Amino acid sequence: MEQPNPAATTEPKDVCWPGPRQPQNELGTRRNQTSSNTATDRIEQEEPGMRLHGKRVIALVEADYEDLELWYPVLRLREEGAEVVLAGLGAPSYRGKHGLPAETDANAEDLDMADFDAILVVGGWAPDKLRRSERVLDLLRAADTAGKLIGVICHGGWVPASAGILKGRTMTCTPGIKDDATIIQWACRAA
Amino acid sequence: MRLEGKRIIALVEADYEDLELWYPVLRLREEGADVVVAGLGAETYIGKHGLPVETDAHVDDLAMADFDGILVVGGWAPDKLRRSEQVLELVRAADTANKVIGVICHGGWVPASAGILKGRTMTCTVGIRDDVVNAGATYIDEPVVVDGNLVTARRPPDLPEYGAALVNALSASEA
Repeated sequence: MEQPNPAATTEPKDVCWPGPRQPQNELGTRRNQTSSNTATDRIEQEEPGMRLHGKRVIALVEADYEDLELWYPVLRLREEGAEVVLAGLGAPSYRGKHGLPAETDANAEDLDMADFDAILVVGGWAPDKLRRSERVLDLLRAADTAGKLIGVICHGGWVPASAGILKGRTMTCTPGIKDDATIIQWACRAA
Repeated sequence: MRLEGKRIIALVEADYEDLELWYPVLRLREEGADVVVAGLGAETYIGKHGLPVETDAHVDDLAMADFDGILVVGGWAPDKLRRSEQVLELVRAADTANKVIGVICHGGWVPASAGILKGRTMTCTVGIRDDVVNAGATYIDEPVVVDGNLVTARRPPDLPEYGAALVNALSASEA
């Protein structure tokens, strides 16, 4: 965990959006700065445990991503203490299909899978862009080779299909791209 | 599934803050809770950023006795919700019965209008800090504040901690 940055906690920003995670906003650091001599119960007193503390996860994003398919997993993994890096193909922010903004933390093409424990592929129309990046496909292949977790939802299935890692695998996806996945399985059986 | 058998009301109205509704709703459902999304009559509402939500019920048809907790979303929805006497009654009934009340961001307007904030310690968006202080609460600038049955958070970046606090509070409640 990053060291607490006292200056960062004294100015309440009223930006009603998660945005990229700043080091001083990592889960846990702010709690450590708080005194516990008030009447309130602190969250850490009942917390059952941060099951993903120390894990680093890439969340791929691009234009017209499916809003909740990105944000629920990102926030959920952060709830468990994981560091989730939002990575696209160069833009500082993207809009979801419904309009939710997502600020990126990195360009996916600058990331090395060796530095991460898992990678998530969002749905919506983002995967149609993501699958065209050889570096993104390399991240998927590297994750698969290393046995690292690959999370894929809905149209996200296009990306592992293009990465060529689906032969012989069992999976689900939106019915809209079912043929793209079953063709791969058929090709596998025929091979 | 830490919340199996629990029933929760999630209040919603026009221009709700998209993730402040959806993250807690999906999070509690992940733990097995039955979350009823309830507004003031419309079948569908659109969030500030554009996310749609279909409602399960009208608040007028709900009784707090049938539920274990109630969530108040932020965005501009609470400006509408606080004008409904039935909404305020639900929040008062939850407080009287010591049931979990989850409030985030501008959602603090609703418990303020319900008159349940005197002597409570809480947080909210800094934009309505004066309103909750005027309603009798002590404001603390922290991601999540838990004061008995009242669980409050400031804004969307606090959602991971808010989710954990809600699950903890609801799993500890006896109803």
